[in-house]
Amino acid sequence: MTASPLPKREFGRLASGEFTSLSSDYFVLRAAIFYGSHVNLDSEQGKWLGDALKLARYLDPYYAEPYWMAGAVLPWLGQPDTALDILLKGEKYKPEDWKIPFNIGFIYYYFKQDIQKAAEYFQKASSFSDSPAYLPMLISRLYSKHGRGNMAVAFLQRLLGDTKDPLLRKKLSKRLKALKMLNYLQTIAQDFKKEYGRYPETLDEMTQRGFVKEIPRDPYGGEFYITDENRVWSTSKLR
Amino acid sequence: MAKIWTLAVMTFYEGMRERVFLGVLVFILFLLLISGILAQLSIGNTLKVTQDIGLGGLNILGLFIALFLSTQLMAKDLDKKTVYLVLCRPVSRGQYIFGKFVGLAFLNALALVAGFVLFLLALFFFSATSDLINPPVIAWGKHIVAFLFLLLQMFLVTAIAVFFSSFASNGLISFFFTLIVYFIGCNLNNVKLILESKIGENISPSLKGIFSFAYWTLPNISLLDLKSWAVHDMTLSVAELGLRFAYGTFFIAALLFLAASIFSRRELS
Repeated sequence: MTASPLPKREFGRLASGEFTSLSSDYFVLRAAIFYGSHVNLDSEQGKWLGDALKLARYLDPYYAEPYWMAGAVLPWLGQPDTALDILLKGEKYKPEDWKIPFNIGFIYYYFKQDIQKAAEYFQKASSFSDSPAYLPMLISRLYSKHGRGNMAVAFLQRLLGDTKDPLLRKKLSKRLKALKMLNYLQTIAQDFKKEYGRYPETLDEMTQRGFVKEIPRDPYGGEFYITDENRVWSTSKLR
Repeated sequence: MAKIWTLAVMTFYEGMRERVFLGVLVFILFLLLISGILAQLSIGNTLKVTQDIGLGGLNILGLFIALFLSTQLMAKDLDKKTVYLVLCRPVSRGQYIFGKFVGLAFLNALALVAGFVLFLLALFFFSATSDLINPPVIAWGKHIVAFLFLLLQMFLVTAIAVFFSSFASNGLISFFFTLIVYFIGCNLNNVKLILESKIGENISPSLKGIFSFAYWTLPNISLLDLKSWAVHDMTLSVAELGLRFAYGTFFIAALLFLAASIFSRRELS
């Protein structure tokens, strides 16, 4: 069962007159009460929630709560595209809010499996001065974990060039060192495949066959290994 | 000027004696005081909702006085024939119109200033005691500017009410005409946006023409609405603010002169 029908957005704006901000508050409140009063929402109810947030955003595009709710709730209700639609419009009206590109990045990563776009938006989010310090690390791990090691290295090198804080520089340098090692080992593994038509079972096989003198040590204290998907990764997960 | 002032004072006291006015004033003042408590019903940035309720409440108070009280007081003079008592004195009809406007505007301004002071106190209290992790910065200066524009907006609506009252046969007609012009004035920019969107492609040219005429002749009241600007701490240049202020003032003056001109020629039975 859905809540009562929502007005068309143009009608909602005309009827609100100069009280569009208050109307937006009302529809956010309705959406919050609707969401909070249902344990599990079906697809129809999820759609209603998405429409309510779209309407609230349309009435007051500078109000943060519709964007916040869209990013936090809608994708889990099977509405990632609606969430993206709302959040992408939010970039124009709230360009100072890092949480909007962050939420877009997360939706692309988790729901759309589009790593390229995810990293692009996480990168945008990390450029804000009040964004969390862990974001640059997250971006580099995202690139390297999904076979884009060169992009991770290039991203971190650029970031290192712009960073003055000594503690952050130390962390970034460590991450960069680990990523360069991963890239190097991945390149060796690909050379192994060209030679033998298959990837090595273990990294030790590469040393035994003379492709590499020794496997370098992970700066994070873990051990490098080759995954079932034939990618070089570390037991430390670079943490 | 002295005659206009005397009329203004008389109108002011007449308005103060209206029980409905006092009732609405007390209600709105109470609403402003509890705006922060009401905002707790919402989620997230409750201070934003507090500001919306406060500024919205002030807007409604101003509208009540400008729309309802203005048309009623003007109509009462004509219905009870008290206008003759004024006009048989050496007071021109133009002075009568201006005197009425000043009195109504002063009544509106006094109520709104009282409300605004309460709103600021309530907002200060709720922002100081807020439990938000990252409370938003409140642009106090912009709230004052938005309030001044709200006053101007209400003076404009009062001028519209006085204009229609100068020729309407009864208070109800002038009330509805004022309400219609106010509603259209609030939505001129909204309709313009709709006509420029995909929906506008299906609208007939004649309707677009009618809208264009309305856009250029009727007062664009939304230009004086700076509530969102203050709440979201947005940017507007001093030049832009000045232009909007001049726009509002121009319309008020034009409407009053038109009203004075029409009323001067009106046959009073």
